[in-house]
Amino acid sequence: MSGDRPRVLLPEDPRDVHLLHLPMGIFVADPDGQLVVCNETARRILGLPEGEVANARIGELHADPAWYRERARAALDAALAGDGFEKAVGHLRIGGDDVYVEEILRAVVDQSSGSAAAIVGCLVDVTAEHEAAEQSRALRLKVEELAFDIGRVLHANTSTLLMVNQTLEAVSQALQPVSSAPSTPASEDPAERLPELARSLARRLERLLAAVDSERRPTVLPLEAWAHLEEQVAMLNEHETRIPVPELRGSTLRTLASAVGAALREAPLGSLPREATREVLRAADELQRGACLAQVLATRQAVVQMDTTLRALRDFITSDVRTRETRKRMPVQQWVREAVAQIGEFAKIAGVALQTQAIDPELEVFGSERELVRALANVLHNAVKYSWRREQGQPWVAIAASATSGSIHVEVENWGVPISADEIARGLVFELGYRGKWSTDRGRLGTGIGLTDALRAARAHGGDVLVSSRPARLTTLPDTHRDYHRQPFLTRVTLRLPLFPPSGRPR
Amino acid sequence: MKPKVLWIEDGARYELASLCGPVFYKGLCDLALAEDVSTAVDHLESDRWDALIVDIRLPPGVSPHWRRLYRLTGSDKVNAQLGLKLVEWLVRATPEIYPDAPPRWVRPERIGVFTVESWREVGDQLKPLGIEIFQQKLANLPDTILEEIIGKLLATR
Repeated sequence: MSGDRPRVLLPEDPRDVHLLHLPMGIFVADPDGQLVVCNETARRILGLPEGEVANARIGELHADPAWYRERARAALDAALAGDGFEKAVGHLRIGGDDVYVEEILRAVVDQSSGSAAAIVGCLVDVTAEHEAAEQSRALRLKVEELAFDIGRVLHANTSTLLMVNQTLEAVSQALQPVSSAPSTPASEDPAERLPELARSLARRLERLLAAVDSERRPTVLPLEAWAHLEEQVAMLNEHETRIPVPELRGSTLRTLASAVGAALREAPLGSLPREATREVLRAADELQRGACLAQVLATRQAVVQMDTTLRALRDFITSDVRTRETRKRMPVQQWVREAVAQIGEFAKIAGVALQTQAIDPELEVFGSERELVRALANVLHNAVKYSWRREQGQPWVAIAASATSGSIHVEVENWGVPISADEIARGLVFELGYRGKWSTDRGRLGTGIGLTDALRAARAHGGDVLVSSRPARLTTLPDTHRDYHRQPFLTRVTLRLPLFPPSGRPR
Repeated sequence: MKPKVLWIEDGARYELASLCGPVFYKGLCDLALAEDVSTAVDHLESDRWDALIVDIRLPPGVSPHWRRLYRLTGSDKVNAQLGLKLVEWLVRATPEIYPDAPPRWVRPERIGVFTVESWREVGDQLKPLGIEIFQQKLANLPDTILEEIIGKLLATR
């Protein structure tokens, strides 16, 4: 827009600078709004041809002439009260275009009558700024509406996930082997029983096949069905070598067990050896049930994880829209307990133990309980999600809190997925939507919001989030070696917040 | 000898595992998985495959080339669409995508796309590459869908 401005040649002597040269519009109007005089900038803003100043009425150049009269009256009141001037953004309509000006009006008071003798005004064209502000306001409104809608959609999905989770829980209980004690630890993986169940079915099926000789077979089932059953014995015995990816075996064994059962039920009643058939059907049923249970538990784990992710997403999106929660003092113990409780179900299903070390009950932080709990829950959720199963013992996430030099440090440590030094140094792990280089191994779901949100909450409370990750065992591998990041890492995420009271010492 | 099929899909091992059951059970083919683009390229360069099934949203894996491409598109598999780039490299031998020449046995009719995107979103990019076997991932698909896709691909041999 600077190209549209008239070039102003300044006089050589600064004392000769005239009002005409000022880069803001200046005018004088009579009390009825008739322009008396104006400078070049005002003439340009008001779109007046040279020499026609005397014919212009300032009020009528406004989109709403009454608005100008109101401002002029207010300027007179202000002058009489000794307050000086009236300032507002005025809306001009110049040659059909909308022009916005910052308009400062000052009344020159006729002391004898107490009325306005003249109005002196300053005009600054703020059309571009006004339009940008309007666009920004419209955009903000749109984002708020969108955030509200997304919040509602996610809320509805969370309810659906609750339904799914409860149904899966009921199904998993119904599928549990009868012999299992109710106190069976959640970490016991039913998938580990599948090879044994598969071999059991293979043995019984072999026995049945041996019991029906080749002459009798065609009278019972089509020959292709017998050939297929023979093939299934081989598959049951060799499924671990035929299907190299362990996670894919369960669904195959389930399909196979179901098909074996269905094939035998096709046989005419009494045409197969009764006891051997019953044993095959029982073994097939047990294998199908075990494979289903493994799938149901894996699905439930994914659903609980999805629920936590959706909740974090909803909180993240709607955090700016919601009414700001009043900040208050809160014992660190309570803060940690609530975050641990939020992640408890997910940790239980994932078979990860949350180990909270004793926390000094005197330690306190000051802030929004909802935001701080969400920040820590995000960190804990990541720690559980990125924990690896161990050859011996249950995977764990350790939580500890301490106070040093005016700060509270809540540390969350897990054993499992690495974060590379480069990702930490470049702050990539805190970028919205970023998922760690090694975080997508073993089918982990995620959105890349957790640490971003935790950092935002911590910084809003004058704190920070620190991340470190190192090999869990001594290693001679350089970090450039392709196996370096395939080993388990100890990853520690520390939420640092100012200690309360701010004296730097706990009460 | 059974036909060899490579499924390039990062959710195959967990979320989509049940789709593999009918394929292994019926023994239609030897099915292998590649869960990222680098692993897929390793498989493609070291072996000959009768059919490929590719997802559009894929993580890059360990190869610096694919990692760079991934970074350039915002380190986000949704935007990076590395599966689409992999298919383009395989069909058009685009060195800007990957410097090595693609295997010579690759034919577009042997590549199927199984993805969450709809044909409306990616069809304009897949059609010029000669990709016609396409299936959008939807929640109501039967567990035999992978078997069906493989069947269609193998029928083109």
